[in-house]
Amino acid sequence: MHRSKKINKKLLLKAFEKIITIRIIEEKIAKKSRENKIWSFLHLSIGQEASAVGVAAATNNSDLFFGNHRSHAHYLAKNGNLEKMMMEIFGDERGCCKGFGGSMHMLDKSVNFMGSIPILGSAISIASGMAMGEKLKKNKNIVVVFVGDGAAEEGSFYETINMAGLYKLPLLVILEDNKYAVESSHEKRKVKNYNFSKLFKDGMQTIYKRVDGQNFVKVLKTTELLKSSIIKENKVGILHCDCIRFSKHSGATISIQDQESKYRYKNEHIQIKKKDPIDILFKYIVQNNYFKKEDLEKIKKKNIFQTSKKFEFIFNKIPIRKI
Amino acid sequence: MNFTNAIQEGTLKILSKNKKNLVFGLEVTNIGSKIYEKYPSQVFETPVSELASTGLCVGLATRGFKPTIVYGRVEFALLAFDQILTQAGRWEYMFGGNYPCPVTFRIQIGRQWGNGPQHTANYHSIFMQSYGLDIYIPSTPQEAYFHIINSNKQNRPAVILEHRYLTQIKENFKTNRKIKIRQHTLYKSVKNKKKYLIITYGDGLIDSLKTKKYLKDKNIYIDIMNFSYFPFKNRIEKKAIKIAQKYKEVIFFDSAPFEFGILSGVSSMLKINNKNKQNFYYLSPNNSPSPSAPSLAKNYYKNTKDLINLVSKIETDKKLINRKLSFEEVMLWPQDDIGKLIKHK
Ligand SMILES: Cc1ncc(C[n+]2csc(CCOP(=O)(O)OP(=O)(O)O)c2C)c(N)n1
Repeated sequence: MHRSKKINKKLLLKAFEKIITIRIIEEKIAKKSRENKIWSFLHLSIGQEASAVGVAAATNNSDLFFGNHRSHAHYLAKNGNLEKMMMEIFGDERGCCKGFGGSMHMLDKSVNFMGSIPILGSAISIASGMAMGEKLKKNKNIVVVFVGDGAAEEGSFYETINMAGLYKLPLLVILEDNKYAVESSHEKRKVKNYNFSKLFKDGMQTIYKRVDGQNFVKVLKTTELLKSSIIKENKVGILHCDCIRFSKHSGATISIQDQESKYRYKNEHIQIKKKDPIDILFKYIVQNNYFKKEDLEKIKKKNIFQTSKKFEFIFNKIPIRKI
Repeated sequence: MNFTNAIQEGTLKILSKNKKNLVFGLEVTNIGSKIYEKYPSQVFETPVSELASTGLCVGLATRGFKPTIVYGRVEFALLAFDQILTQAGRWEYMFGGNYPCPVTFRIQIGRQWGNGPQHTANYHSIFMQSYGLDIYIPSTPQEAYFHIINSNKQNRPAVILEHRYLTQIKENFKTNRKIKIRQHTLYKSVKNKKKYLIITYGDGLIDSLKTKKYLKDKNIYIDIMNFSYFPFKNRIEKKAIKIAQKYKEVIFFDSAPFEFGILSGVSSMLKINNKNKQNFYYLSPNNSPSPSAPSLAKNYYKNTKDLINLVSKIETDKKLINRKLSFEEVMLWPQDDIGKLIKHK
């Protein structure tokens, strides 16, 4: 495995805190939505935080991000403004899109989070244009776009991979493969033995890497590698992250009924317990002696407490319409 | 210069003005492409991937570039409607403003011999109902030229619908002057009787002008109101409606099927708060695609003869022209000097 120069105590702590923050914020958004009957569409990233945080940690602030319908984690990982995000989701006109967008439209240009959109397949081609912009301006940045495994079945996905390769655009596609499009698994949607690696590596000439998307460190290291290859080789990069979505596809539900539901793979509810990105990173940090277990526990508790307080503080500013 | 040259000249002009003005499309870099010869770093051949290349242009537009993307037929642009209508058109709105997306979609549209049901659709009205897009439908080379210049000056997405039928019409005009872009133009007869008005747009103007000229020699005077620019905030000006409401006999002349089309919208606007009694006449194809075979196609579009006969029937209850028009007269590219027709008083 590639040895990251970036990995150190400070970075790991920051990432650990970030993943917890995203988790707590989303859990609280879900809870408040249920309690207050907030009519905002929601697609929670819970369970999938490591890919967002890992990619953000491996890239520079000046690299651009572009997201999809499930982009709260992408936005927060890129240091998007939390208050504006919550306001947008809870229907407050002071939100990041002034209330016009809603939860599927995250935007914070000040941190180079260039937007997120819910039409599947649209984001990748728009992001390729942004990448062309960076190239024509002779900037050294890359553009990172987040795409689900469902969206990766759209025609525009294949079209764009070819076109971006043709134009040699600095585009990094993060394929967050949580196995489902809503509740439909790969088997229902793809030919038998569909081969990502052959298709994208040999066929489309991208730099394609597949990684455990629950594992922050692996995502970080592989993204670093990909970024440098994208720039050196003038090729499109694809980071295929195997992720697990803990929540239902949409809405505020994170439940054992959903996790044990028949549409999911057998024993996924057990995997969910084993493959929580928070626990995986916790273990890594302790095992590599960056922190003692007890100390990290304390840090975790403190972070949960502080994030909760912050959430409540912002939430209290938002006039919630009760129905 | 002809309509096609005018488009080329307009494009050359904007390419020369700013390196961030770019052109994308199929076959835009082919041998003989003047824009590519002169500005090779600003003109890009795309794969046959309308959706992706349109998205690419949308992305570029959000990053300070002004891309133009060219589609050989409106049917090809349909593959990219997500990007045109849902992304570019709504970009600024959905992100709460202050995030412009100035991409220009140059879409060829409408009648052409032998092209049949899947290459000649007249989907103008789809764009009219979309949000956020300025719509330009040039009827003359001059309009084509200045529409390109003007759409490039705006900081908004624009659709230019270019009638293929018009590619060879000619007009002499000066390119090096400032003009105020007009939403509609009124072509008046000398004797302004406010009796007959033809309302049209796009490739309807040429037949309307020929009709005006022909009937003038018979001492029948008609005026023409031609729409060519439909800005997104105010597609049809109130001013135009007020003028049109003064005419007694109003003919809506359309190469697209009338039902729920642009002129159907204008027609219903005329009826609102109108104290004058007006008679409305509609000349347009039936609501079906255009057929391919010459024998079928020539009966599909309405033309100068239909216009003349309609007016003369109202006037004298007699048809003026009895001979059948040939396929060539109806379907081949008109090569008229539209400038001369316009100047004809
Ligand atoms: C073009 C388009 N078709 C259908 C939908 C409806 N839809 C929204 S999310 C979704 C599933 C997406 O799955 P995936 O891309 O894997 O992302 P995930 O939700 O798993 O994160 C579908 C089908 C859509 N938004 N856009």
